Amino acid sequence: MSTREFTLTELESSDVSTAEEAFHMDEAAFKTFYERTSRPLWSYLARLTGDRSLAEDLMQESYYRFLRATLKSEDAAYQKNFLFRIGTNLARDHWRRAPRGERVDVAATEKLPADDRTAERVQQSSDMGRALARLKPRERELLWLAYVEGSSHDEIAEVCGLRSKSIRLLLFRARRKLAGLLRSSGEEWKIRV
Amino acid sequence: MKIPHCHREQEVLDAVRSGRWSGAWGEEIRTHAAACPVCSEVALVAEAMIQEHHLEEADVRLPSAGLVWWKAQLAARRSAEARATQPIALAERFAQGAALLTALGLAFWQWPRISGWLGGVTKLAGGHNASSAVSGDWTDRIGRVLQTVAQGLGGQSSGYLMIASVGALLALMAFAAYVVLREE
Repeated sequence: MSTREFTLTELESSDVSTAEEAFHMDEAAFKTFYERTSRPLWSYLARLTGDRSLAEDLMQESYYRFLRATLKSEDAAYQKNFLFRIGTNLARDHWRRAPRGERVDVAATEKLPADDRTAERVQQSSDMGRALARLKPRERELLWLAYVEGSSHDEIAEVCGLRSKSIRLLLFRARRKLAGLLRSSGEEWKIRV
Repeated sequence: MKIPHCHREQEVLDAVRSGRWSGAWGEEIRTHAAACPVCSEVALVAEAMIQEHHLEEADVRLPSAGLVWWKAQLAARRSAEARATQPIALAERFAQGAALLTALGLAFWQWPRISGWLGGVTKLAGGHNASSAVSGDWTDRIGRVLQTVAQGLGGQSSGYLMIASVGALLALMAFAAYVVLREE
């Protein structure tokens, strides 16, 4: 696992003169990387922004910036964290730029259920959406990375641009908040033991 | 602030993420979580989030890697083009400014002659007395405007305008020579 922090130069590097020089990986390597990271990145951005199509746009922009950046390591975990960091920054930029009225509420973006999905699961999903919508964007970032991506505290710190030591407390608070919201939202989310 | 902690927290999370949690193999860890407030909270949140993730991911159709690669290449090419043409655009603006300043200096320097020439042209065109008076009027007005511009640029003296325009002319010539030599 990579624990080194990203430098500003790495994140904003664009000193390339031609399109051919621009990318640090070839098409075949990119396809492998994309297959491995696109769905997790999209899910993460969709939960962060609450907008599926915006998540797709941000995802594509993240890959574009990732390809043009100068990476200091070939390590797969490092590359994935770097990509997520770009995506996180793009989502935050969007969040800052968007007027309050245009911000999409996570709970309002109801997903269309597939035919074989049960009503219970859809209900659970909308409960979860509402609960997540009541969290701060940073809390959503932390929880998603920790519990869905299984990232370590060091990796979360890299992606979110926070100090590694503060992750434990922030994650604990976010978890407690979400658990409280889920418990109050209904019977479905009671722990199955 | 003291953070409640359980040494099996990570084990619970791993069990939920791997799917072992709901199976027969997860019975022991489930029993532990039922009695441990920290682990029960971890399991509750992790289960909810992972289930949400699976439900959401099942419906999504993402663009292919080839399409994203192609779009990224296109964007990089556009960006490279914009960077490459930026000096040309700047040089064009500089040349326009220098040419304008040169023309202004030239007009101010040779205004009596230009004014006389314009008056001659009006007479040759067979203008009436009234129209020649009008043309004399506007040439005088341009002359006054030039004087004002020269004073604005150089304070008391119009000599600054001449110096500036000669400088601009020289810079324009040097720039043109550089472009020609570089092309060759």
